Amino acid sequence: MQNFLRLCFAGVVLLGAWSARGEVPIVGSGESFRIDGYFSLEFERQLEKKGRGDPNGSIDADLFDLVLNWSASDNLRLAADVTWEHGAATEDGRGNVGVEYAWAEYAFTDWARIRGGKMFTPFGIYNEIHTAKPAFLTVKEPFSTNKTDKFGMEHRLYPRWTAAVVLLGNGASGIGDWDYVVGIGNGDNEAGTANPFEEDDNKQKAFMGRIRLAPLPRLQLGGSFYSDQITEYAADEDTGKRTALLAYGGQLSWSLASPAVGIELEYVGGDRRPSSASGLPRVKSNGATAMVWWTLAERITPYARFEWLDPDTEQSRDQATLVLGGLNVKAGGGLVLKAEYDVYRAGSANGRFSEGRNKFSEIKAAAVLGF
Amino acid sequence: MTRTIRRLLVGLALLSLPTLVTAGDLVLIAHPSVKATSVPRSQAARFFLRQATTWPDGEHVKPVDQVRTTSVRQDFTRVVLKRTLAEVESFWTQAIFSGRAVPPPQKKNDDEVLAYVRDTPGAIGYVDASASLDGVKKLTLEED
Repeated sequence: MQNFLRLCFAGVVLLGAWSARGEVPIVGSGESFRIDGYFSLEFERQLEKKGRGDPNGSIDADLFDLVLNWSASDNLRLAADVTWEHGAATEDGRGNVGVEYAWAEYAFTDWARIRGGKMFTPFGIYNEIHTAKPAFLTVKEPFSTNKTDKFGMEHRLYPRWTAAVVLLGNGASGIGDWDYVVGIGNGDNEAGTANPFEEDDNKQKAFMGRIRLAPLPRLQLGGSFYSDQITEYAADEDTGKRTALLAYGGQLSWSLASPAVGIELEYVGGDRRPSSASGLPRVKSNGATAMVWWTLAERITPYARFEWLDPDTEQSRDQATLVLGGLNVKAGGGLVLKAEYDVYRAGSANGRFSEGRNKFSEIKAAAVLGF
Repeated sequence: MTRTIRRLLVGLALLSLPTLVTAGDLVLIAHPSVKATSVPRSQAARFFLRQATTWPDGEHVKPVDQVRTTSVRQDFTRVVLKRTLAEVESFWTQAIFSGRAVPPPQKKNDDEVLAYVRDTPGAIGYVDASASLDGVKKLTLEED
């Protein structure tokens, strides 16, 4: 009987293998289908007793991320980025499983491609790689320009994701290589009354765009904008009034081949204008980052960054800064090790770092394995 | 006087000729269907970085790379892409995760690159100058 079961099992395996012959491998790096991804493990520990960091020194099973690309033809591509964050266990309501993006793109030519689906809002340097730990030097993306809701603002300056249709492209001209993206999307639904990737909660659409130009091979300049009309709710009912949202930014990246040093600057401004009926004030915000690095032997990169955010230009003592210095080491085989020392400072009126918890430092470390 | 003018004209003619890139010991190759006979260095770089995806006649470009451990890949990265291997890898990491593009397929050696280019219309690759180029077309690499 046992032998019979073994034979049956072997037969099923062989049948499966036979029927699967010639199929595209599920995991591979072929031309038409490929899977990339990474795993990241992080550690954070606040050094002072008081602050808004992690006083316990936690190990964070940060992310397992898969990026899938399928080229259906020379012109048509489907791409998706799926993440399992913080050891996701939906049964216990822990962690997070997310589709960071899933879209289809058709290329008419290099300078005219159309993309539709859920995507990262195309804005600035970091938003489209903010989950991609192998793609930037630091442990975290900048708070002041990309994660403002963790740095003293009630809202982000622009949403991280959008369901949209965008036109994008790139090319080369006498003034340098360039790329652009312009698009229209549902926009955000901050009240969470509907899934903004499925259903817009108002008729006003969000508009977004970015242009980047490289006038020199190692110098890139860019500008971005995002505008939307956010629905104002009262007891979950649409009041018919809208908050006008505008974010705009500029970026600069420059590096040298030898010595391998670089600098990165980014500014993001925000203007949030609630309707007069809401009784809420207009809020203008400014955020900026400045970062320098020096890569040694193509593997070891010391870096330093300064971040600054003014959540409300009319409010005093609400500004926050972060100064960090760290080391990024490419250990080979896709393994990247990061270690960092962060110093936070904020005014007493900052929305996140309240009095007594507004000056602290943290050590952070990450091990990232990309594939 | 006439001789001086002739020399000047010859000199100008020579200057106007495309300058060949000193690409060390590598050769740029393409599928025989590709009509181009030469490629400017910056255009070749755009092909391999997927920033340009069509030949001048509209045929789709199919670049094929070599793995990072081959010496010809290191020469190609330095001479044609004008970057370090680490910079190119960083470029592709950002491109993949942001959704901008995916890198060309990578082959382990010249023989695999030659086989791919021979069998793939629109393909472009590079191999060591000592490799046999049967069945593929040699492209001249021009300085911009």
